[in-house]
Amino acid sequence: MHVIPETWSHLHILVSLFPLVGLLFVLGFYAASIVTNNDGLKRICLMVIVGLGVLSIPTYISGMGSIMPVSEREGVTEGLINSHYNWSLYALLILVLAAAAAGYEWMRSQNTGRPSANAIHLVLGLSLITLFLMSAAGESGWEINHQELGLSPVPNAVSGLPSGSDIPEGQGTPQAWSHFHIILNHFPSIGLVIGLFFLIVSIVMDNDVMKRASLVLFTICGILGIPTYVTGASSMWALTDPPMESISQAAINAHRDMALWTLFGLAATGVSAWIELWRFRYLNRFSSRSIYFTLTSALITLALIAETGHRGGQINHPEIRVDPLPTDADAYLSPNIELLINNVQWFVPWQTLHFFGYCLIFGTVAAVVLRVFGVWKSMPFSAIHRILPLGVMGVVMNVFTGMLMLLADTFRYVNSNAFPPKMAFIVIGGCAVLYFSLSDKLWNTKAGEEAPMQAKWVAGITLLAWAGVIAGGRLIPYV
Amino acid sequence: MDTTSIIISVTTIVLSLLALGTIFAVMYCLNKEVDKTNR
Repeated sequence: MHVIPETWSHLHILVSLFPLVGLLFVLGFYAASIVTNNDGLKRICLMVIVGLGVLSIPTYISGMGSIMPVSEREGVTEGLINSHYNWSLYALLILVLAAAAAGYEWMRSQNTGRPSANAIHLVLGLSLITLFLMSAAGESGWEINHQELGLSPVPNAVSGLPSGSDIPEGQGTPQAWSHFHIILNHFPSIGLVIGLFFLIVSIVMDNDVMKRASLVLFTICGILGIPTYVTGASSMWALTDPPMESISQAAINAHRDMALWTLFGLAATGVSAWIELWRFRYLNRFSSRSIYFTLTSALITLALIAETGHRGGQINHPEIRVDPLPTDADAYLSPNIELLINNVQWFVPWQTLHFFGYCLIFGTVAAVVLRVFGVWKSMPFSAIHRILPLGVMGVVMNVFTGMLMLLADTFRYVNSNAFPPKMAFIVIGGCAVLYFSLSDKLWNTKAGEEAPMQAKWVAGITLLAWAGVIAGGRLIPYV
Repeated sequence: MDTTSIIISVTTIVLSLLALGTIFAVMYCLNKEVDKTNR
């Protein structure tokens, strides 16, 4: 099995992400438990924080075991290792304190029936400090293993980046893309693990708040799949154009193929989770069939993401390689899709569907925003809520068609000045859909009533975000 | 019209019809249960 680590370095790469990215997601559940005052979810979160505290032991031991093999790599200095060691040590110590407080409160609440507010806030505070220190530890860790992040692209590529249509191959793509990819790719993978844990526990405990929070996390993972894939495509150019001696195009293509399947898996999981959140509003209960469908989809996607992560790790982590790297760069699906979609006979039809998707998204956004701003006040918000799936279908269509179009000419897309803001707007616009699905205040806005001010701000941001996506997409060939 | 234009046109029309069919089918299925429950 590929994902079972055989070295300390490999174990460290896998386990050290949970006290960082895992803790962030657990704090999301923790915040949900505080907002909804759900004692069951609070106690499960306390237990998970204890679990993360226990993980600090293998994280520390595997980190110590990794020092020797990693320090042999070219460019790894004692200063880099010491910086990572110090940040990690402080972070793990605070995490152990947070876990001890969480464990004590968990045991105490067994007798009293509910956790105390003071203890809940103490654990939250310690966890937030841990998160801050862990971020610094993670960043210093990536500096050790990813020397390429410090490289500047070939002159003229960063300063005064020319327009996308003028960039000749060989000028270099900024390494900032690789940096973003290294950070982003851990969010859907660890998010799925945490989401699956909470979803399974929520089924066992029959806790609807926990089920909703898990479905929200799956939806977020689905949305994050888009920038993760796109930054991955950009990183490929940053690492191969101009070529680097230690980077294999065949290894990248092997990773890309699995990443494409993972993207579709994340989309399926995210959409099925969101649809269940949407249906819950009307039915006031979760359908077991839909919950189990989402669970199965998340499990399959987790398997895909594990293999994708493993193949991604092979690209630039020589210390964890056990098998020889692939050598035939043409033996994979992605380069063949690139060739196919580059043909105008395929590009134009898929681009047409991309425009259909935009129409669906913008039409839905316009209707929601008009009601929230008070233009269609005679309608309750619940009536407008009915059309949200149309917009989500538009997003799904455009993720599929957009990724195909991206594959037609990744170099030009990722080096256009209009592309990064477009990607950022997609994430903002996608997350806004969650607000319209989850806000109780907005859902309870009856006919003739004014929508809450908070909703108006979100509506304004959503409108601007999706307008920015459309404008950004159109500007790609020109700026 | 040359062969390429015909292929592009046919593929575009077929894909568009498939997309429209999917949109209406999904909306019908999603709303059927909701309408039944909220009648």
